Parts: sequence; structure tokens; C-alpha cells
Amino acid sequence: CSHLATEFIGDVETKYRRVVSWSIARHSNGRSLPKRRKIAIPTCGTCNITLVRPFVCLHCSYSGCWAGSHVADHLKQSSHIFCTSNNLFARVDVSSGAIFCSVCDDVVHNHTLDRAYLESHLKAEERRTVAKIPREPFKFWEPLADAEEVSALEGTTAIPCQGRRGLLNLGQTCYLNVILQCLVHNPLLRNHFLGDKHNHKLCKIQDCACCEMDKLYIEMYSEDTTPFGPVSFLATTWRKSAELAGYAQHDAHEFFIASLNHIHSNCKGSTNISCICIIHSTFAGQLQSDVKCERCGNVTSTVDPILDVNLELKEKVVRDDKGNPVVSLGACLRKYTQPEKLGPKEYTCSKCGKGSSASKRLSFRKLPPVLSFQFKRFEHKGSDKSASARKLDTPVRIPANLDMMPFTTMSVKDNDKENTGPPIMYQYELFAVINHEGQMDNGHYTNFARFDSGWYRFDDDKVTHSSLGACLKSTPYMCFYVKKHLEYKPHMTPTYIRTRETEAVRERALEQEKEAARQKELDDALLATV
Amino acid sequence: MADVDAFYRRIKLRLVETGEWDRMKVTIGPKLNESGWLDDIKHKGVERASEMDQLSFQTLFEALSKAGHVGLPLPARRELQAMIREYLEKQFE
Repeated sequence: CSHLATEFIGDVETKYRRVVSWSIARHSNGRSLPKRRKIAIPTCGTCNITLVRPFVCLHCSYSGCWAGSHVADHLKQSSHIFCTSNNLFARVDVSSGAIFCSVCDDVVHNHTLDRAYLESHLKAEERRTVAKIPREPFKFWEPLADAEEVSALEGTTAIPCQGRRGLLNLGQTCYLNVILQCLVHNPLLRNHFLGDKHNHKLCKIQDCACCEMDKLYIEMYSEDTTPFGPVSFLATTWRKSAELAGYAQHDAHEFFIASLNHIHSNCKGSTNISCICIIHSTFAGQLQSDVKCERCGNVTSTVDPILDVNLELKEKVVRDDKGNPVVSLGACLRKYTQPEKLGPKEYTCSKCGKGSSASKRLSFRKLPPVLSFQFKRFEHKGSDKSASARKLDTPVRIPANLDMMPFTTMSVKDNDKENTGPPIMYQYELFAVINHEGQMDNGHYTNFARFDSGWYRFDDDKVTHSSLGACLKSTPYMCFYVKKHLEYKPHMTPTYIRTRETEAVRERALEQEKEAARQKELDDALLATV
Repeated sequence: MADVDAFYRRIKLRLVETGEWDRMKVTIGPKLNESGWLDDIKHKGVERASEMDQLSFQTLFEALSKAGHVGLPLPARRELQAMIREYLEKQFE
């Protein structure tokens, strides 16, 4: 829309931003009702009805209904060009703050609009947040503002960056291929490795998993689109994890966790507690377990670090209106976080002593930027792995957008609901799904992954265009969600860098002392001869 | 019949003013997402749009509104109607 480029400036743009902020301030999620409504409800300028979804003219104070062309007529009659609306549909879908152009007679969109929307939306939410830990206010990255970055970008060629490349099956390695595809399409990992944060040519570690990742990203994002065989990745995995060696079919999830641990152990500055390596920064969350003694009410809480979430599928299955049995991700998460009864034989209260019954409840204390779910589809009868195992093929309905708010510790605890922060912090978007067909020992893994808004299906070396619909229709074994928006703590130098620097300072001080001592010796010797 | 229209307007105003509208939206919204209805509409929209040679918001809007109403999952519809009924009964006590 050419009009957006020329007319969306000055007052018009300011009004747009104000509408977005107003929209955020107005939607209280139905919670803070006792407080009187400070903001008046708009009514349609044409038919006077209360507007739940107002279409606001960006040039004057008119607002109206979409129905019956009320707002479109106003725009034509007053020669105003733009109007906008805000669809904050139940906080599930953060909308685009769409703009309608009366000259083009259609909803229009461009990059500046996206930016304006995002900026005003985030600013409004930041204003409304009461945070104990200060957040870094959101700022767009401006590469042209920094002279160093400008010169670094000069003389570089931009290449298409989509990573749509198949992986050759090296002998029952489809389990490896699906996990690698999910890692390659993980936005945080992708940005880290494509940002040259671990250059394999400079690394001296033997069998380094980070180097393998670096090499993988180089191959997958190169301009070569012929299928690639991840031979060295496989070889390194065999050397580091004996249990994954050999050409037998392995479990994709087992390989996933093993890979995360390998990469973590090879990252610079990785530690065992509060690690900030790329793996932990991306996948690490915290699960809180609260055990409440039924007799004395004493609550013991433990916090455990997790890299992913494993969900049971033995659900009493709900039937949808067509009579088809269906389990949803929401239902699985509710089961995961619901209170579980512990009998007196299983629990002894630390406060009142004797064995008593208790209730245990899990909740998410800290949500990672990338949430990985695994559905426990393989049921082993008996304790050893070789015993007959059954595969549960229950279809699971997963949403493209997920809101984790109801499963967080704050929500579950029932108090402090006022201070949960901006809803966008809890919203995730699906970006990859792994499917498994067949039985335990002779099955095949395939996966779906998204780049921007395009979905693709990956079957080893075959990559095809697909759709969200096809992905959601498939039966997921594992699925990956990424946060819609990342929040940042104010910048802090990592501990290992600070230790390095203090060490360096101390060494220099020591050197100076030694030098001074030597000088003194020399002087004393000279004096002695005199 | 004009009375019904006037009633509708007053009730709608009340619903929005008291925040009841928002509360109902927040209850039904996640259920619509979880049942897959929201993703289904989105998927239909993307498919329709890819088939149109002349993209037009109004055409898509009309087609999807119809599909949306028809495909509304029964449990969510019933729950919403029950919420509205309960509210109305309280108002007219």
C-alpha cells in the first residue's frame, strides 16, 4: 500500500501508537474489577452501539463498527485514509494491530507498521509491569547506528537463510535427523551458531559437540540444497555416548537429551549450577514441587532444574463433538500440574513426624525460552528395556499458540495473581514437531518444522512444503515451542569472565610486586658494594 | 421488535461496563484454542488466501465468519450460552 509509506507519519502514527497503548491498558483480563473503570467505553459514531472491537479512525476522533460498513463509510465521507482495530483475542493471539486503508479498500501492512505496533505494545506492557527484578526496556537492534557494526557489515553478501536441507539416512539414523532438524530450526540455537559464537576452526577441544553444531549450521544454511550426511556429528556422538553407538534404531528423545548434555559440557564457561551456556539459556527451566502434609499443613518445596517436559498419555480420553477420541496438550499439562495424593507409607512429614498422607503438586517456576515436550508413547512392561513394550498411538491435539500461565507456580498457588507480569511472557509459538510411525523397534521418525510462517515436512533427505494444518493433524511424539518475546535482565558480565579479569588484575599486581622486590635487591646490592 | 434491539444494546453496554464481557472472552478463548478451532480458522484463512488472485480482506472475513460460526465446538458454544443465560437471570431478578 503506497499510502502507508507516505501517509503513516506524524500525527497519524502517534494516534496509532496511542490506540495500541490504550488497548493494552483497557484489557484487564477480567481480573481487577473491584477498581472502578477509569477508561470510558467507546460507542459507534454511526449506530451508537457499545463497541467491543472498536475500529478507530486515525485522523479524527471517530470510532465505529466494522459491520454495516459504518467505519468504511466514515472514512470515505471524510476523506480519511486509515483506521485500525485491536484484536486482543483472549490474550492467546497477539495480533498485528491491523490497519485498513480506505483508498486501497483493504487491510494493509508493512514493516514500519509492525515495528510501530511492537514498540507501543511492549512499552505499554512494560509500564504496567511491577517487577522485583528490573527488566531491560525493549529496544530494536539498530545496526546502522553503530560505526563498528556498519564497517563489519560492509563488503558482506547477504544470502538466503532458511536451512531447508534434507539429511541423509546413514543407516537407521532417522532419530538423529529429526533431532538435528529441530535444533537447526530452533531460533535461539540458530542465532547463536550463525552468530559465530563457537567457531570450530578456533576450538581445540577433542570431540567437541559445539564444533559439530557449528559445522552442521554451516552446512544447513549454505547455498547447497542437496541432502547432507551428518557423518562427523554421528561419529562424535558415538564416541561420547557409548549407549547411542551402533546402527540400531535409537530413541530420538534419548539422543536429544544426550546431545544437549554434550553441547553444554563443551561450552565455554559452562557450570553445574546456574549455567549460562547456550543450551541452558535456551532450554533450562525450573519445576517446583510442593508437598503439603494433610495433617499439619506444612509445605515442603523443592525446585528442580529441567531441560524438557515429559507428559503421560494415559488419559481418560475425551471425545470431541464428532465422537473422535482426543487428548489435548492442555489436558496433559493439567494432569501434570494437578495435586497428587501420597499415602502415609510414602510420606513422613518433617514437622509433625509420623507418616501421614500428603498432596504433592508440580508447577513451573521458571519457563525457558524454548519449551520441549515429549509424550511418553513407549510403555515398558516390566523394568528392563528388552521386555515387551507397547506403543501408545493416541492422537494428541497441540495448539499453534500456547499460553503457559495457568501452569506456573504463581497461578497454581492462588495468591499473587495480580503480579504475574505481561501476558506475552507466557506465550509460546510452535516451531517443530517430531512424529514416529510404526512400532518400538521398527519405526520411522519424520518431523515438521517452521521457518517464519512456512511449514515444511522433513523425511530424512526429502523436504517438502507443508502447512500448519498438516502438522497439527499428525501425531506428535515431541514438540517444540519458542517464546513469542524474550525478556532480558540488565546486562551483567558472566561470572567466568569476571573471574578471568580479577585473576588477570591480580597477576599483574603480583608481577609489579616481584619487579619492585627485584629492584630493591639490586639497589641493596649496589649499596653494599659502595 | 425495536424493543429487542434496545434491550440488546443495554445488555451489551452492561456486559462491557462490568467487565463481564472480558471475563467471558477469557474463559472461552483458551477453550477455543485448545479445541483446535482457532488453528483451524487460521489454516482455512491461509488456504483461502493462497487461492485468491486478488487478496481482499472483506472476502476472507465473510467466508471465515461463516465457517467460524458453523465450526464452533459444541461444548464451548454451550458454555458461553450458559454464561450469558446466568448473567441475564441475575440482571432480571
